[in-house]
Amino acid sequence: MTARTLVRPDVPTATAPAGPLAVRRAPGGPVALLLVDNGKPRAAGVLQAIGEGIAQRVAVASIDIHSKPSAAKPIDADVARLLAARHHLVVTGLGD
Amino acid sequence: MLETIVVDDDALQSDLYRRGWTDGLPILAPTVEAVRAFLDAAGVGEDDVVGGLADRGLTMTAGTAAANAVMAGCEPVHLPIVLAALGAALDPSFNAPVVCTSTGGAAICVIVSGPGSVTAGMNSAHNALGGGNRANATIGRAVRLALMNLLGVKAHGTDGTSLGHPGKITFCFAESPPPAPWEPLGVALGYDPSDTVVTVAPADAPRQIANHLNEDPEGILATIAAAVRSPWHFPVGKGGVEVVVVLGPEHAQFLAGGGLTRRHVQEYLVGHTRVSEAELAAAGVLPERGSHHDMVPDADGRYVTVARPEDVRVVTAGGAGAGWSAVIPSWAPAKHARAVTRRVRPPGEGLPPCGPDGCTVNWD
Repeated sequence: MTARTLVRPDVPTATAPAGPLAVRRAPGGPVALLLVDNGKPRAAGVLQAIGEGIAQRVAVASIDIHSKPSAAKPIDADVARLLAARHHLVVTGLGD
Repeated sequence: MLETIVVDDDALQSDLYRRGWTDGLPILAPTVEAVRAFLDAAGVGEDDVVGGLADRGLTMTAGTAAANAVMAGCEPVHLPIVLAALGAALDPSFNAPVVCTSTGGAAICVIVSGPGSVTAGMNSAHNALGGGNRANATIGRAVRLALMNLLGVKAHGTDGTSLGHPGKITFCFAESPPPAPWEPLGVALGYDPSDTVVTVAPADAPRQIANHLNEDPEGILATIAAAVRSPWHFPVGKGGVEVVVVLGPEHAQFLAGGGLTRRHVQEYLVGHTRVSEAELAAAGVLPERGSHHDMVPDADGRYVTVARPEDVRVVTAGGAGAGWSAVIPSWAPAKHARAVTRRVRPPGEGLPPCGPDGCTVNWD
């Protein structure tokens, strides 16, 4: 066998060392729930059903829905920070 | 700096395939020597920046691009075109992450206009959209592989394509000289006739058009419009889609010879491709409501396909035949992804600084 040195065609990304998981805590009180609608058809309906399901299990003070301007664009970083600061629980990652 | 790995020669194909770095077809080994030969031929450095995706912290260097070009089977003379195509594909308006992962399965159509396509040995004549030419096949494959590997997009991973099409392996062709008085696409886009320009367009599979008997320009335009006007096409009614129209030599000659300009073709398609409610109903399409994909009718109740003349790129290619052309629509509305054009930098000129004709990198 002959070993060959090849140039990587990808972009290696540094993997952060695994650390301990964050402490799981029960909510201290009613939580502010955020549902992020990615804009796909019927996404809002699915998310609302999930939100209602969460509300049956956890004390929810409010349910907000944030709609992305386009399913094809990532959520703006500043908007994401603002939403994170205002809510305790976030449901996102909906596909088609 | 070139990042390297060591691979057993006997396991080259299986190793790189297992890592998800190939498209399933065999590749050539991106050895350090081969990559450096490509970079030298293009007159660029291995760390020169081709473009990037700021929100993902990803940067495409010339070294990485060259490694993918070697793997795809390119010759060194092809690298400047690959670099320009990748610079265009990393423009934010192309929206490469979505083009490469959408369920709609878009290909990246690479169109080369100008004298450099001849130098590179590209085909613009018979079978221009098919196989049989190394430059066409490998340049298109290199662009696809490079974006796939930059983004980490895998066929059974983050590439959510439901079906896809063969153009997702390679989809690249050169423009043939248009009939007088039409100018080449690059000149029509504002570049100098001596420039070679490359356009990358998010692309569905090409729809071939047959009109063998009608020499009337209006009749040919009507046929092209009929191919573009498809009630089942995802972008209908969603603000407009971009379309590449590939005119075969007979259709191009009848249109140009009949006194029509590119602008006439573009405007005709804007005006004759809107879809009626009845056409939607006949195709069983339910208008989307309550999403960011809403289908919104115009005031007369029809749904837009092409919103602006500029959203139609008219290019000539193909060999003499009976009267064939093709339309290559984007898979998604233009608000999601747009075609982008860049000038190919000749060897020794180096890559451009970031700017309107260079690697637009938004690092905010």
